[in-house]
Amino acid sequence: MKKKKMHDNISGYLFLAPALISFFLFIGLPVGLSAVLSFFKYNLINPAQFVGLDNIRHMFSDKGLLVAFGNTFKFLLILCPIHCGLGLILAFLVYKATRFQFFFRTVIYFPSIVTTASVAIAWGYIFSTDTGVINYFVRLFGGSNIPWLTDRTMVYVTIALFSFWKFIGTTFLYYFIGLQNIPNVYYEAASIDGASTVKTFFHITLPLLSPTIFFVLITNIVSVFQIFDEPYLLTNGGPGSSTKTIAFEIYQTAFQEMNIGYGATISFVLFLIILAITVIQYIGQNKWVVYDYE
Amino acid sequence: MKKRFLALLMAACMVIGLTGCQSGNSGNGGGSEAAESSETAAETKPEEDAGGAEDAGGKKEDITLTLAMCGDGTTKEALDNLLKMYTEKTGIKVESIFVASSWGEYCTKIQTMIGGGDELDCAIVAIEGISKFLDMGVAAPIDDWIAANQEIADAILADTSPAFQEIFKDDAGNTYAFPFSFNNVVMHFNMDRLKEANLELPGESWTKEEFLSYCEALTTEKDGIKQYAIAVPYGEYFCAEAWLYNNGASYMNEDFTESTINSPESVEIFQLWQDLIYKYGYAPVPEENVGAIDQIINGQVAMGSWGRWPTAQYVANDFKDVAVQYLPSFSQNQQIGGVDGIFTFNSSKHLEEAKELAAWMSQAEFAGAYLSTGNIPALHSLAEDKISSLGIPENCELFYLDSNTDIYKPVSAPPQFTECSNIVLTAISEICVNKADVQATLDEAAEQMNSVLAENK
Repeated sequence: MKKKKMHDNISGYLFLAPALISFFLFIGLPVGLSAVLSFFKYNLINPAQFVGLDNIRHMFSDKGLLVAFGNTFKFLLILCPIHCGLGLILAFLVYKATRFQFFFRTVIYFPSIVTTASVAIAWGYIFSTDTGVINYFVRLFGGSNIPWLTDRTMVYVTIALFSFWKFIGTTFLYYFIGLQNIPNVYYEAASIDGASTVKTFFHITLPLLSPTIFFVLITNIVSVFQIFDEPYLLTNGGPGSSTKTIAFEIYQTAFQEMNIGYGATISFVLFLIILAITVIQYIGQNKWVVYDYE
Repeated sequence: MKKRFLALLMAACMVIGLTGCQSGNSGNGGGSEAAESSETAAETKPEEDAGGAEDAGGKKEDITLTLAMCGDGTTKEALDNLLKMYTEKTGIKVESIFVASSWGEYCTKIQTMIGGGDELDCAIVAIEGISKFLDMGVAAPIDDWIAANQEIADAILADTSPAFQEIFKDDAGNTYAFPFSFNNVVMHFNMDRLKEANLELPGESWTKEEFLSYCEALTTEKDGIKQYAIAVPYGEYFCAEAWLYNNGASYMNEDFTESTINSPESVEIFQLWQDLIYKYGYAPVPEENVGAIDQIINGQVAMGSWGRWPTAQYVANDFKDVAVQYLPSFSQNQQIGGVDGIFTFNSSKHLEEAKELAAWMSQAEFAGAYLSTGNIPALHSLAEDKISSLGIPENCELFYLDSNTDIYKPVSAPPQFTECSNIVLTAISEICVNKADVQATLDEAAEQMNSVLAENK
């Protein structure tokens, strides 16, 4: 009996091993290394030089990093509600659609599978102030050029539009699958009781979709904290440093300026922030996420 | 029992398979350049195993050198054909790697390749990366090659600018490369736009007032779209400093220990750029995805400041109505210079052969065949011949007229070039796009730059 249990344990661990090895190699080890590198000055060529807490001290006086944190939080406040809220509305509308559901699903999800770099370049041209297509139509209807990418406020609108178009498909898909997984009996019961669509949405759909909402919320917050593609490709962090984000700052510090130690410090701090937010959300979920409904 | 054994076996296979995949993946990481140099490593290894380095009696036919170049690869075919000639001559094979990026990013890529253990023998390095590589001690001096080939070296040195030769020397006087190609910065004009405004090419000592009057005349509207006079040097560290030099300013002092970007002369030029956009409306608000060279070709702007590199685009677009003149003399006419050379690396396992290749590439035979529309050949005689034979732009002799003199002032390129470049370009963007206060922005930039340059003191 004891031998059987031991065999079962070994096969269990062996089945887990591929995932554990991947996790260790591609997540655990880099996180650990970045924590260690935070105490060094290193440029890939010369030997790493131990600098103690210098990188951390420098972080507190780095005005550029402060701007990057501020910009990232701005993106968080703009993009999270867009992705989590509008994604849900779109998914609900398409789920309820009786015709052309396949068409809508395809149209909404398609941008997610296109390479970000290629479409970002196209969007850059579309949003160009003097020669862009959008401003051409604005001028055609008597308006004046809108500074889509050259105004520190408008640039957030432009990036939000791009981000919505490019990435909404993923959250839409999560919600759509979540909606499909809600047992029909609840809707039938609500219908028999004469509940309106709005009441059904708020009293059945939302609570039963809460695990998906929780998942989408966490993944969105994490991905917005790591936002890089949109500002890098559309604005190169500009105008000025208006759209420089933490991930952009890490890229510049570690991979352009080759200040690997300081770059590691920033990325480790970012890791701790994301971890803290995720833990808080995880603890808070008990109050609103419903798992036990079948 | 059999089932359990099978399950164990399958799990073990999965683990082995996965770890096998991982090591394979990591071996291919780093893109095609890394893959290319891995091949090079594989090619050079048997020769070492089979009896050590070629200097210990190995055949030159077995040697493959790896050469990194900066560019999008459009000249790769031409380069590879020339390198085949070199192979026929010497028996040494050369593999070329093109890195498509700006000079700053290219230098970072080279740094990553060396740090990552890729076997890189030679690389073209521009002024932006020279002090960085010298500071890190990765470049190999070529003084022994010069001593052994004095006649060839003298011929190269006599035909290139002494100001550029100095850039390739360290504090101890060791030489690391010969000047290969260079750029100064001049004003490019769309001559169609000038003709439409009844303007001639300005004189070589044109002043700020004349420049502004040209801007006034060249700002028009065509088919409802505004036609601008000038594109400010946005995102162009090198070109922007050329404007500062003509007003007696620069980003930093000559020994790179202190920033001077917030000096009154510098502020005056940055203020001029902001005014050209917002006060006078002579220049468009610069954008990341809008190429100013395209704008001068299609006539949307009439003037722009660059080196000779736009000629490649002019030729590709069959754009011939273009002329060049020195930048306006705000307080002086001080030409800027940015030069590159072929470096050899200490880590090369075939250092002597690498130095031979670098020297061959710095001579007229290679440079004359390779450099046509882009950079200016560093050899004065060659530059005169190549540039005048291309015929465009009008007044093109400005590119080579002084190229064997020490008239050029090199662009500010400290070992911390990337950091300083990021600071300068952000400041330009803040001033030219965000309409930020010029003095305050440059004070902030100077403070950031001083903290970066502090380690040079």
